[in-house]
Amino acid sequence: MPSSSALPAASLPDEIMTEVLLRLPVKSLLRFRAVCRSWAAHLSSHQFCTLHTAKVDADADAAPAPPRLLFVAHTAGYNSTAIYSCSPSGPSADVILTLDEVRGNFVGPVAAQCRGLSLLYDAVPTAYYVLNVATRAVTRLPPCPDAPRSSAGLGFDPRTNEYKVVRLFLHSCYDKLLTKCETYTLGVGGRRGDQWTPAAGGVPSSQAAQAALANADLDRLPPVFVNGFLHWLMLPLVQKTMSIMSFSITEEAFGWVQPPPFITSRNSHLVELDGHLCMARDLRADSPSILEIWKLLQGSTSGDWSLDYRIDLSAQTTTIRIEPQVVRVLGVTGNDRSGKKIIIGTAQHEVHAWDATSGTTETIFSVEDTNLGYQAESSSLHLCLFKESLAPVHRTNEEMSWSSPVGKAVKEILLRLPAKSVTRFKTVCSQWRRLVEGEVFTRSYLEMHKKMDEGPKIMLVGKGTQQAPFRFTPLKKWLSEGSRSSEGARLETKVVCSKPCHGLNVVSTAEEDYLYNPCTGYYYRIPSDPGSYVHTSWERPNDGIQNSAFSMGNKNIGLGFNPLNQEHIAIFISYQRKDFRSRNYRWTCSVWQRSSWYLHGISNPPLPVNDMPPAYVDGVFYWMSDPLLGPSNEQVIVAFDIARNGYDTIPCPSHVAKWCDNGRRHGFVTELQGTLCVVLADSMEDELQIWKQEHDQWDRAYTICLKAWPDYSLRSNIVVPLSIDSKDGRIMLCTGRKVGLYDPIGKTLERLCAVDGMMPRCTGKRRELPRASEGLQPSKRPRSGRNIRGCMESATGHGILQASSLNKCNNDLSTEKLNAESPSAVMSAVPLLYEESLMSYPRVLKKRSLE
Amino acid sequence: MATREAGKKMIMLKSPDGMEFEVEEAVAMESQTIRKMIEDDCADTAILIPNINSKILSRVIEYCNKHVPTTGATGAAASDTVAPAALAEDLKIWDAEFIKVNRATRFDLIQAASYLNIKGLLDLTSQTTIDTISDNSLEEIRSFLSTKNDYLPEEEQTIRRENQWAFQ
Repeated sequence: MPSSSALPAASLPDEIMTEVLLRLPVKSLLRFRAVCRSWAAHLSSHQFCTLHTAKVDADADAAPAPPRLLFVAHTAGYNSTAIYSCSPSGPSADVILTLDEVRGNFVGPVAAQCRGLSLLYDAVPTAYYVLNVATRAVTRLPPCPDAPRSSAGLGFDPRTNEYKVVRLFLHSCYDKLLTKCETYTLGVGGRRGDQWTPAAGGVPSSQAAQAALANADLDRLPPVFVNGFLHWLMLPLVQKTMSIMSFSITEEAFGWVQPPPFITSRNSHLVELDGHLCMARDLRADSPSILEIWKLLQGSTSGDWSLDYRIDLSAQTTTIRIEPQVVRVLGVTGNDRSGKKIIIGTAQHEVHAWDATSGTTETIFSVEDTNLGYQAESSSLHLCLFKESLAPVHRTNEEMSWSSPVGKAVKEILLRLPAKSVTRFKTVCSQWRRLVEGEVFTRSYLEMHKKMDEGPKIMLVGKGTQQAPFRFTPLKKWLSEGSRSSEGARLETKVVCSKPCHGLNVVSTAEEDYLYNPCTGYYYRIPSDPGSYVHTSWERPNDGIQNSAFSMGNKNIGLGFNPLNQEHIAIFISYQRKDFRSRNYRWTCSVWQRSSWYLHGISNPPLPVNDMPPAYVDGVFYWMSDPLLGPSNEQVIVAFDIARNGYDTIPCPSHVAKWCDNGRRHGFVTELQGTLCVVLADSMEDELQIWKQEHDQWDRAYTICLKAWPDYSLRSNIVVPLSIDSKDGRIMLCTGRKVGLYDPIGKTLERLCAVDGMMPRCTGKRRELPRASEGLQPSKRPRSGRNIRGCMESATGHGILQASSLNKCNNDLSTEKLNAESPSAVMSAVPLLYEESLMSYPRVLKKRSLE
Repeated sequence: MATREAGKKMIMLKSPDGMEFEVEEAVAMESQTIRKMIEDDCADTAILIPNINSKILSRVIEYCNKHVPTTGATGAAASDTVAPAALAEDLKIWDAEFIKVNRATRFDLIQAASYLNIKGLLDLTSQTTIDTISDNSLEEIRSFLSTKNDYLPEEEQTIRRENQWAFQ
């Protein structure tokens, strides 16, 4: 209580002021902390909090209000979890708070509140959150060891007025599974060292604890807190009957409670009602629609249970449908005077109130009536009752250190560093590692570097080591080190790289496909698609796009990002047969998603697509149809919407759609600056036309004439515009082995790099040839001063400079010939466009809690 | 000893400034404090109500007079189940009119209601105060309660930021 001088004693005495303030909603109380220091101290005090809780309880007793519900669901984008408050009176659910770091489909079941606080469990990565719904305060507890099976509950120690999170889990140690129990005490800055500590009283026999864990895990039943004890219901593994394991929050020791006098099946669960431990017995399987509630009599550990309620679920006007797998008693409202109501939740996200006096039931909440749009039945309940409370949620040391000015500065610096450095800094301390590996940081890092716009980023993919399949060298380093560094690491097989998507690329060889982060070296081998092993080469009219540097045999891979679950998705199309004479073909289409770890087939696109990889824009894949196959000889864009899981066709610009059979023109799709583009490559004119789709209209955005640069000639190359530099508007062109920047205004081309296309183990003579075969060797040439950027060559104008920039004309010709003759030639390295990113996925696939 | 008038038990209430109020026992028993005194037989003669001046006491009695027929003997707040809805509505309007007093008087009434333990009056006066201040700006609250802001500007900013939603 603040001193009377601080409070406005002139107007009201302290205790009466308190009396007035207790009537305020939590929201106002939080605001009033900003009035003055003494108010802040008073309103945050344990004493006021306790009085407030008592007042809330007294009010509820005097005038039973409809129960308030807390509902946990993922957000529309699946990338975070939202906690909603719902009340039976209105259909709208208000978002109380959003946990950005928690992907909604990994959140565990919601347990009943313990004195105003709730515990949430995120399975990936293992993390616990304590939150107060009324004050919207939330804290993420320090990390705890990963476990194959775990169950945690929140309890309150009345002796010390502290909350404790108790975690019972299996720990695998040298092929043996041990049961462990750790506790975490919530408090200012972690009074107990801000860490999980083993329970003082140890763990009971492994078998018993495992039986409790098994039940908690299988039936998604969190432990129930009653009068200083957490209670776990055990699966009847040890004895025929079920028993109840208890854990004293104060003593940190396990004990036993005698179960009610019946042989329980698995259809029972514990619940706290009016301060008593109760067991709800779901008898729907045996005698239809009966739910019994047994109460453990006060002070009885010997097992005196009384059957308090027998709820006939079928005799109701609004019946609780028989279908829901899971029916759980959430709590009780009302009192003996006004009549008690048992609140029952179902897996279909409906809440019913059963009136104990009249025996009738009414539905008080149904997710179908809300704006949540979350309707899938699930095996665990994501709702519980909640009461207003001021119970404080203390931030952990880690959270405090990151929110300190120094911590914030460190965070900002880390966000701006190259991914390689950030990865190295993970070893500074575990706190940094957790930050860097966090989903929120990864996301902001990607956004930050997109905004920073460091220009086109190219790496050269070379042969890897035993540890990793590939080696990535930034362009600058590759150029400065020259062929020396790449010599030992020449690729031995053809490699095709995708464009970056949400921080990752797909790097493919004929046999394998990898999801790769070139910055950090993270990779994951995508399971192979059996269809892609067929290596038939089709006899195709030469339009140049078959077996180019951008396609890998009969396998066509696209990399995208699933907006629904915020994870990468790869789509594989493989042809088993193509017959250009009869226009027949046979193919399969399959999808890989990280969440499933394996490929699963999907229906084939409505039209055959060509060999160029698809463009990915905003949740949709786009391919160009193959005019040589199927019913139509017009080119059309085939689209696959990931969220809708369906195909569409989009007309091409009319100029592109008409297919001319002379093999001199071909069209394909690509993504530039986040929009879908169609590229028409006309090898007769040596011209690239780029059409942009804007407002469902096709606009010819660029025409690139490549006549002046024979090494980029469309007669011998497939030239793909990879990206557009938003600063100077230059277009990055890639032939699969050469990368250049084309300035559409000045009509100039700056060559960035060129990789030789020689077969491995070539002769010494061959090796003497300049690595960049177009003669990008400044030392040999008098005008080397122009080549400020080492080997990068800027050629302006038409022809004249071009000729001078090429040392030998016949060299150019031989290159062209080489290109034309063996388009699948193995290159020493492959250029890859990448995004600065820290993206990666956890190695272990976790079970989703909410389907 | 309680006086009798027309069959009704009367109680004498005395304010510290010497005024005396004769009220029906049922009316006086709206106050849980007085009820306890009467039940414990401590109310032989007039009951002295300390700290509450005659002006406030007369208003408190006015309130109790109005509320006694509808609340009956239980002393609980006006309940819709006892009184017809129209009557309850009437009482609400009367309450709204009754509480139209200045701040000082309202604070005195809160104190009186708190001391005399008259739940209905305490609810009414506190709630009115709450309604007045809960939507006000912090500055208005400070001046309303004559409290000084002793935060440094950045400290106040921090508090605002920590509970941003509460300030929206």
